[in-house]
Amino acid sequence: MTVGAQRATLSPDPDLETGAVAVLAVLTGDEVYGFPLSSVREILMPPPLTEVPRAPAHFLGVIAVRGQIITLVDLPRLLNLAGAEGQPPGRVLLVDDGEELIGVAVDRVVQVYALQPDQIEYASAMNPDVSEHVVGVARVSLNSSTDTEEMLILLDPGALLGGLK
Amino acid sequence: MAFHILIVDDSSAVRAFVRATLEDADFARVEEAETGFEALQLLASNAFDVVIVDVNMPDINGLELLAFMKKSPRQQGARKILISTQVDGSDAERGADLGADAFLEKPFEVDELRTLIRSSLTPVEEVSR
Amino acid sequence: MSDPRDNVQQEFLAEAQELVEALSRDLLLLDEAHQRGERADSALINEIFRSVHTLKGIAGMFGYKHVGTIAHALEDLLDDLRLGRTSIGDPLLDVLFDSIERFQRLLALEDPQAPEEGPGVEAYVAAVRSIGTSPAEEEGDPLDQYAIGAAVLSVLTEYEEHRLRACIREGMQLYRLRATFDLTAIDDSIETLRDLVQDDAEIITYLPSLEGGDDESIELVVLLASRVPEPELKTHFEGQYGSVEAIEEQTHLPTLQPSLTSIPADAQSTSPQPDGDPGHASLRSVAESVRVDIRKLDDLMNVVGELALVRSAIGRVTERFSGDPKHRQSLRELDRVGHGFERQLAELRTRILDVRMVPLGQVFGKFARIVRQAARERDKQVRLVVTGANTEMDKLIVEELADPLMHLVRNAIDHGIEPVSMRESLAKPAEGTLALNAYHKGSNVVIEIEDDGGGMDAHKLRQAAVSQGLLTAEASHELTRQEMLNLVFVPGLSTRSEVTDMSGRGVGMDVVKTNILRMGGMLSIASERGIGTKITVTLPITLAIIRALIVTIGSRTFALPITAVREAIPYVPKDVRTIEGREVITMRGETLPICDLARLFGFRRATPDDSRFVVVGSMGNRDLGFVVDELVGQEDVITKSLGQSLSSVRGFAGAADLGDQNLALVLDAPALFTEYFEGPDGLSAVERRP
Repeated sequence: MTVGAQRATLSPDPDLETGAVAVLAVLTGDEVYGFPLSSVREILMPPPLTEVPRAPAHFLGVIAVRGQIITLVDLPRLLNLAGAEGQPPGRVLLVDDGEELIGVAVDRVVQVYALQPDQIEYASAMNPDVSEHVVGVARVSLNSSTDTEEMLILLDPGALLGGLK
Repeated sequence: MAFHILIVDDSSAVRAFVRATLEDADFARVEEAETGFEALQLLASNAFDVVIVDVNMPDINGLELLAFMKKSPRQQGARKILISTQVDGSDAERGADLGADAFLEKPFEVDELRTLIRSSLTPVEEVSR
Repeated sequence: MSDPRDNVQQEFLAEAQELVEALSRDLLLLDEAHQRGERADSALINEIFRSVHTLKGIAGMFGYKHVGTIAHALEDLLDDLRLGRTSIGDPLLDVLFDSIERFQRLLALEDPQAPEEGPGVEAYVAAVRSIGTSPAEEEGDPLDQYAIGAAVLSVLTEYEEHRLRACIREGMQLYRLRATFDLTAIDDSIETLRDLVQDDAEIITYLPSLEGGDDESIELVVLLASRVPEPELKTHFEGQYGSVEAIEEQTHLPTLQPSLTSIPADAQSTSPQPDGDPGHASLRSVAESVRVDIRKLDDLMNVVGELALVRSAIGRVTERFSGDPKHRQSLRELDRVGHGFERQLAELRTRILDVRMVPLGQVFGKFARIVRQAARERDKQVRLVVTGANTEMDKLIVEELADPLMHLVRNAIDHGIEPVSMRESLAKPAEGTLALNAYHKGSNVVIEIEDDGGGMDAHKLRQAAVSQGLLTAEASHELTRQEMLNLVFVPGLSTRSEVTDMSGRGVGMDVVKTNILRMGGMLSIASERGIGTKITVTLPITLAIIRALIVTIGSRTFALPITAVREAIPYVPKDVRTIEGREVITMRGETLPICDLARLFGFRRATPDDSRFVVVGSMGNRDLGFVVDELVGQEDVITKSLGQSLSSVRGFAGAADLGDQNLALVLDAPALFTEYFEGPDGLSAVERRP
């Protein structure tokens, strides 16, 4: 698996003519988070996990994917969320943070949304206290049969995972 | 209608550069030779549309190859482009006498090469020196 | 449209690197010849010219402006040299040697056109241009005297013409050798011809001819210059090749130089040509090797690993049918096939690993230049003796080794070997010796760097440690002499220059040690005042595949490289004593410190105490017992790194795939030893001797 040299940024998905941004939405700890689709290389059923002793708490351990060793991190702990600990991951995303491929454990994958830039409230316009790995928020409906909208928190993989090193 | 192009240069970076610049399924097929000897092998069994030759190679230099091609029946139709590091020097003069159709001075840009190739392949236009 | 140059950038950098390396090797040869007082080999000078010329060309095309500027200046200088307009001397050699480092630095820059490099480049170019030339002597053009023919002259390059003139001036006779070569094998045939011609003649150029030859073959007219008399040359060549005919001198010529006509008669007494090739392969060796990106080799190893999993899967399916007598015959055959497959896989793995192996000579070669330079800078005389350059190691390790080894070499020259005057006053030979030796020992490679200089002063090191506050005075008195010497590896101690001058070793030994440890190796130092110092570096031959002892700790599986393991014994809880806060046991009369890994890693113990084991680890001259739960077995495993984000976690060299995606973390024995004995801050104040 090759890893991109560029930082993953929210850039228009070339397949969509409308200039929309493709975002993969995942559910974890009762919140909906989004990763730029371009940064997600793969979505896996969780493989056997090997713990690494004395590693900081947000590291669940390492996994093997087609012969390559990938570090697995726990998204809730990475985001300092309380609760939802001790649950086995539902899915693992392989995310390219611009330097290496890192596994991110989440509860559930929701779907891919094509968001127009004007649907996204970018972080700079919001409260400056918001962590630097949050790009912004958007409102999406999780369930096409209902109109209820949830808040999707857009994450920047480079900022989120780059800080681990 | 892809053109058949031969690049003869002892530098692998230059050959890779020429290949990257010109190779295109519809436009051109590029073959490489690292030495004059390899070029002789390829010239014996292929008729090329364009042959790009570096003057400065050990053993069989570009001028010797041009001389050979000038007399060789199979290569009469080929456009010959000489690459040299000084276009004003004796290389250009001798090259012209030996049948070179155009010259490229090193270092050259992508556009220069492309323009030169296209004009070489258009029979009507006069090739400028 | 994208710029094709971006994709080709790697190709440029690879070629540029090769050119600089070739240049470096050739310069050394030139220098050696010069030191011996021999006349320079014109073919060698031409090769050097060509390397610089090609570098100039590609640097220009790929936007490496500074590299191009320097190469251009050097090209002019070398052109003067090969055309006889200037001659070899120390200033010229110095300026050439200087270029190697400049090229390497400029090629490594992020911005190849960095303006801040400009002044440095200009200053260097000025230095290059200041090397004087003398105008060529005017003697009348010897080419006029020979019936070479305008057609031939018109295709010779300026250099070829120069060589032609030079040969004629030296009194050689010119010949045309006509030979037909089979096109498919032309490369080999030319090689053979070159070898044959080597001692007797110089090949000026090859002219392809349209006479003779057909679709499968081609006739070449080879222009030769030789002192060997014509009849001899004819018998030499005419059998194997084609015809040899001498190029006649023109009979009418106003400015005929008497010396030229008399020389062919004297040619009987041939002395070996000064241009004789001493037989080094540098001119041709590049063509025989293939540049391989080491990541491709890693990918290949991954595939091999996956194939091994496939093999296991087949084995498991086979198992399922093993009870059924109906299939016994087929099962036996399947089993045989499976074993054959395993053998081939092992063979493949070995061969891929072998491709990663490169001789240490690659790194040692660079040192000759460094030694020469450093010795001159410090006004010392140093002789470099290298043995075991053929010793092979994993390419990645060799590349990582270059810097630390270079550091140790510089140190030996800067601080080890004394200046000439001091050596003479000590009745030592004026020339100091620096010996680099490498050899295989088990699954390790040992590299020794030894000098016959002044040795290290253990007591000064101890004093420095105390005055730096790294050690209390009382603690320092308990140190053995070896422990005092080892203080040089402590960060904070070796960076003070007065310490280095006093103690006989220089800056950065702590960094060297860290780097070596990181590669899974060990470093040890031995020194005697007045006699010399020897540093021994021990490294695994390859990081890629190792034999490991598989154990469980806290019901999780780990692997411990067998090179670190001496033996394993049962753990008897009641034999454990505590001395100075550390747990120890007695083994064969000796005390062995032990480290409970389950406790270290924070696991709850799954196995009852009385069925555990102690794996006795041994590194250098220290032993440490690791307490583990179970011994599972031994296996050959491929260690893969854990990735950057986990690199700060101590104690693990990587992870190994045991099959079915089950991983075992590979324990980093040197790191665990260091952590146990020296604590997380690396200070080995007092080595605890229970």
